[in-house]
Amino acid sequence: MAVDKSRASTTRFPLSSWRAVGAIFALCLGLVIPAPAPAAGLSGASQDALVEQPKDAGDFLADLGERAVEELNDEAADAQEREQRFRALFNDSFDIPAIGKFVLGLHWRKASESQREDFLSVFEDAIVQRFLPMFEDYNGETFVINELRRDANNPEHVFVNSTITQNDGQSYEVEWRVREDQAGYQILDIVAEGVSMAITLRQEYSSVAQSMGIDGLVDALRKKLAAGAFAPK
Amino acid sequence: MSLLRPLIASFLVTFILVGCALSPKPGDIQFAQSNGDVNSIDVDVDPLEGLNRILFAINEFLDTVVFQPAAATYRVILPEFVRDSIRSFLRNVKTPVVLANDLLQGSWDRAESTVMRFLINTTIGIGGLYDAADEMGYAYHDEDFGQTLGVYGVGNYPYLVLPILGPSSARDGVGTLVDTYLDPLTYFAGDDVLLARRGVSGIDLRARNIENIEELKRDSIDFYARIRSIYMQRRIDEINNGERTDVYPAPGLSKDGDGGGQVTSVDD
Repeated sequence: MAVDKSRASTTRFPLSSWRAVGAIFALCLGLVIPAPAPAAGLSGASQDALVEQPKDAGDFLADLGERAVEELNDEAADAQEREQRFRALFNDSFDIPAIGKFVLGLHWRKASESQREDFLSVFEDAIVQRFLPMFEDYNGETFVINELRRDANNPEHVFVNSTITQNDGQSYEVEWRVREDQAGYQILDIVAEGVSMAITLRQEYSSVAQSMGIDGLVDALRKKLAAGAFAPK
Repeated sequence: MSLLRPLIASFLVTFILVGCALSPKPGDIQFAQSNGDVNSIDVDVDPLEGLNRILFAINEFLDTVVFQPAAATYRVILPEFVRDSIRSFLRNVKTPVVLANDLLQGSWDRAESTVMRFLINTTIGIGGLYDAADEMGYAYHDEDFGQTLGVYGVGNYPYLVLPILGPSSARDGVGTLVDTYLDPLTYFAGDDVLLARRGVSGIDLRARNIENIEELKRDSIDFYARIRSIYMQRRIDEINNGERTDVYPAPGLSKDGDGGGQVTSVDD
């Protein structure tokens, strides 16, 4: 950035700085990724927690991370089998139908039964493609549960506040919305630094469904999936 | 004179844009006072979408050919501690703007923290090059006049994509402008210094987000809509200073499970 000092004291057009080079597209906001990896198992939670019933929603998340890492690093199983187990684990742990329904928003009501099925299926694939490599290639993130807070308006829902620290020292505050009932626990949303995964996807996917219809949306997601775009690099 | 002309021009543009955008439609009322009211997430916040998408595409192009490469180069040639020093220094210089907005929002604790940071970092931190205050319990926080307006109840509407500067809104655009006038440097420093500061802080921010942006872009099917959504949510979070509330729409809330019960619909 060359600064011509000879001119510096003679010209004063403050707004030209505002209009000129400036900060950068999208970035004036300090964006963060909506869904960092919960590499939970490696934060030192107890090993035998695997077989026990988690005692609260925070425990559930820590166990989930631990189990996911174990399933994916099980030498005895081949890659396909590992993916299947991971998928089963994720289907148990995320309420994918509820999330998918929310994400389609107003378009859910207009969608036919087969369109809904198509969407939920490609949506599940996308989530698995996104999260699987994060657990497979654990690389130093730590996951610390800070506090649990019950949703005042929805007694079944618990917010689990956590801090994820990357190995470069950068840390993010991530809040999980977890439903708690007799059947166990299920994740409904992940909110990183105030940005909700469900709301972001709802607003993005609605915009696509608005212009291209639900079939167009499903097509676009399938193309991304085929290209492996959801997998973190 | 040189101060006045661009000021008037900017306000004119803003008000014309707002004027066009605010011609009321039935069902829009909720947004008029939606300072961070996320229950209205499906309300159309973007009446200027056509124009915004064009500007967004131009910004994306500029980012690809200029800013991203510049940021990548910046990150390669300067070691991390130098980049951190640069950021600390720029933040320290911006103290008056943050402090003014802390005070305008009545956040006395945060104002105190801002003052302490300035005193500590200017002295122990060698003119702001080192963020010593952070280690002493005074963590950095940002404030701007857009957030102040948000605290006063001004809604973040309509959404605007500004050339080069990126996502904004009528409120935040005015905020950016006012912040320029809250900044003493505007009156003391030369044009080139101010320009350089803008450029460096922009490049530094871009450099810190290279992977994040790549990731956001890669799996998006409508990058424009994704960034708009994230911008809106981040601003609400910033206005609330990171305090979470329970009122957010979410999956699994209403009885029929689509969260629609709490959400104002656009097209019904």
